[in-house]
Amino acid sequence: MSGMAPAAVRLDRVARSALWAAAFGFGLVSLLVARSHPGGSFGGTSWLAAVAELAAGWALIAVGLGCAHRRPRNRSGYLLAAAGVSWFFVEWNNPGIGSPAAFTFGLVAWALAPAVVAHAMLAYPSGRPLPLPGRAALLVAYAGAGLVLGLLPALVFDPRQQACSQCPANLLSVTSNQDAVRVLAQWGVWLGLVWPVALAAVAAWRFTRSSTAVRWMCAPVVLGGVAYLLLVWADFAHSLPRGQLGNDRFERGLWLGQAIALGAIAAGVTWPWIRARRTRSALARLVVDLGHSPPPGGLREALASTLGDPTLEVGYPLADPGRYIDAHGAAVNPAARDGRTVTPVARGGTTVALLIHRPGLLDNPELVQEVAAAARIALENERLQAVVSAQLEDLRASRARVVAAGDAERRLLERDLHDGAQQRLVSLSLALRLARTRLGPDEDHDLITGMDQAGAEIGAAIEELRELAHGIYPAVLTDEGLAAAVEALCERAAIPVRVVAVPEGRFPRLAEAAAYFLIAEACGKIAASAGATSASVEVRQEGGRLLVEVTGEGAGEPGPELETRITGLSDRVGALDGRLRIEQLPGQGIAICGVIPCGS
Amino acid sequence: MRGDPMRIVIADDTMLIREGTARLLEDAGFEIVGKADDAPKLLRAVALDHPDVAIVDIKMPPTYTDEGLVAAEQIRACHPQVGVLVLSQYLESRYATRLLEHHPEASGYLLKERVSDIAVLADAIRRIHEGECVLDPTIVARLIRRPRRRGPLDELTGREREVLALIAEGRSNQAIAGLLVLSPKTVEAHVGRVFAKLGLDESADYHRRVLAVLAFLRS
Repeated sequence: MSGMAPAAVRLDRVARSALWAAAFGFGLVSLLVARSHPGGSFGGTSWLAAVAELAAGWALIAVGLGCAHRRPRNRSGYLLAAAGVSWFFVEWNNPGIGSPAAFTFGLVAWALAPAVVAHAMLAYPSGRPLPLPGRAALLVAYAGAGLVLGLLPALVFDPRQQACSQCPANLLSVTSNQDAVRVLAQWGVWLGLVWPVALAAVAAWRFTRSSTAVRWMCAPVVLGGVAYLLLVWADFAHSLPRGQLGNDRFERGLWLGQAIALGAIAAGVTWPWIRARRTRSALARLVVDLGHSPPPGGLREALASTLGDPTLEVGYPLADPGRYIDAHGAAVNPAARDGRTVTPVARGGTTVALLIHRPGLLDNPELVQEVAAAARIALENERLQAVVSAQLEDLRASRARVVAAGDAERRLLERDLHDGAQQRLVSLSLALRLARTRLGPDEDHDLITGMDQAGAEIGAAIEELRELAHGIYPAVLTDEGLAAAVEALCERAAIPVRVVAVPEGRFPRLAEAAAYFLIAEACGKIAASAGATSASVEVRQEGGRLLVEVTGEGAGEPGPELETRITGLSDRVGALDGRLRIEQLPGQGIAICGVIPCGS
Repeated sequence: MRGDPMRIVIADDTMLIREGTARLLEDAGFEIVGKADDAPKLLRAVALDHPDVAIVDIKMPPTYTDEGLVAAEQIRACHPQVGVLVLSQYLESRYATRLLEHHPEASGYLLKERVSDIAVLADAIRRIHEGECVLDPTIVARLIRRPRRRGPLDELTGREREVLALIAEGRSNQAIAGLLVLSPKTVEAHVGRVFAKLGLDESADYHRRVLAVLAFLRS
């Protein structure tokens, strides 16, 4: 609209008002016609019928023009309005109408409504051209209603010669042939047994073939339309023995049903508008709510309750294309959501977030824009937070991998020392021993002494190697777990170490290693600190974490040197997302406490 | 050596050690009736040859962790007349405890390098064959030395602790008397007091000796 000149805008407004007035006025005039000669009418028979007639027609006209106003390029709105207007045509072949021109129009158009209504229903909501079966069925409908029941009999119908003395003149009458009129009416009824069913079938087929979002949107319209067509078919079936359509009691009942079905169609068209309106007012609340800067994930909660979809998920894009995360940094895979709709929320051409939700929730692009506008700052904030926490998680995982790789190296080295070097030294000492036993008693004394010395040296080397291997990575930790390794640690400690409790079970290898090296290092440090008389170790498992506490009794101040040594440990513990702290216990010594996640 | 030579099965996946140990033991008058390089072959040899003692390396294929220990436990459970001697690289008493706790009689745990000390090895085999329980002197020394809190072992005098350590190594009263240069009667008195302080009442002597060792291991 902004591109139009003011005069054009005014003209447009005038034209639109004229259209509304004409369409609604047409309905009023039709009712007046009906009431002028109630016997040949539907709407003129009672006040209820009058209200039903006006309500159904006006409702369709109103929603149709409303649609056309919202989306001027989509012709489905105009078709709905046309269907509303055509609903009144049935009153215009009323003999009491007076005007020959109006009567002639009525003779041609009176049966058109079902074809136009079906057309509007099939075009809704996109307004795009129909596929071939739909077009063919519509063609038959228009031919049956407009030609066989309308134009053709009008050509051979002369009211004065065919016993309608009060009828106005038929301006189209070429000749008078009562037989032809009867035959055409009969044909019209036969055709009328075919096309309403065909149109209903096409509508149902299209409905099942359309996307879930479209189905959500047009279900009420299709239901109303199909019900209407079936009522039309029932009228034709009822008229079959008589050979022509009429307006007996039963048919007036059917007509009332049709009015209700049309009302349902109109209501179905307004349903998405009502929903969008509700969403909009909820969005206004959302903006207020988000002012209180929600915690991570709070935006999802807010959007879920605002949009009325508790299963709604929000995914934030990462720098590498195709990777998405939630507010907590956990991976989100939008492709793996069966039966869910993914709506991107974009800002300045880049996707800020993906909303993964139930189909049909956000099928209106304007609504998505509004969500984006309302939640933009919050989405942006949360996206940045999520990206940071994802990066932190990546970093933590990479630290854990570094520690794991280091541990694997250590284990390998320990094993190589035990199974390689140590075995060789044992073999060597055995070989030396065998050689020694082969020596006779009269051999050189120096040689024997030398061999014994060599044997002793090998023994010392084996012992040193054993200590070295144990320090690198105790085999008992790999084989038997934390409790056994801590027990073995106590056998080596320089001061008495009391084990208060260590859970016997096995834990993830990294957690066991972190706990073990923490205890070993802490015991070592406590022993080295002045005045330490003993240490105690307690490990508890609590809610997926190992709580490790090493207490040194009588130990001095922690001092900066201890802190430095502990840094290495806190890297190892931190790699598992754990924590470490040193506490000075007043008058009692120090406590080194670690919290190590163990995932179980 | 009196009577028939003692019959031995050796299991070790290192050929040099297996063959070398066999040679040394044969020289020392033992009869080697079977050799195996993994646990299944060892169990088959024990079932077929009914040796007096099986010498088992703690680490064997396929995982090289504790297959030997598991096999030794199996032998003690299925063939009570066969003694087992586990050779290990590990000083940790944990592994020894695992073996001796369930089958304390006729079992032994020595460090691997003892294979070249034929005197120690032969002595251990004989004592295991007599139904005793043998623990490596280095492990015993470490357990004695280790700093500990107060417990029943603190009740023992220095001399009694020495005696207990020698019991743990599997020495007889007579051997202890020789080593500590005491009269057998004095040693007997010490041993009696050790048992009393550890709360081990009257039962078969060798049984009490084993229980004393276990108390010592667990302390």
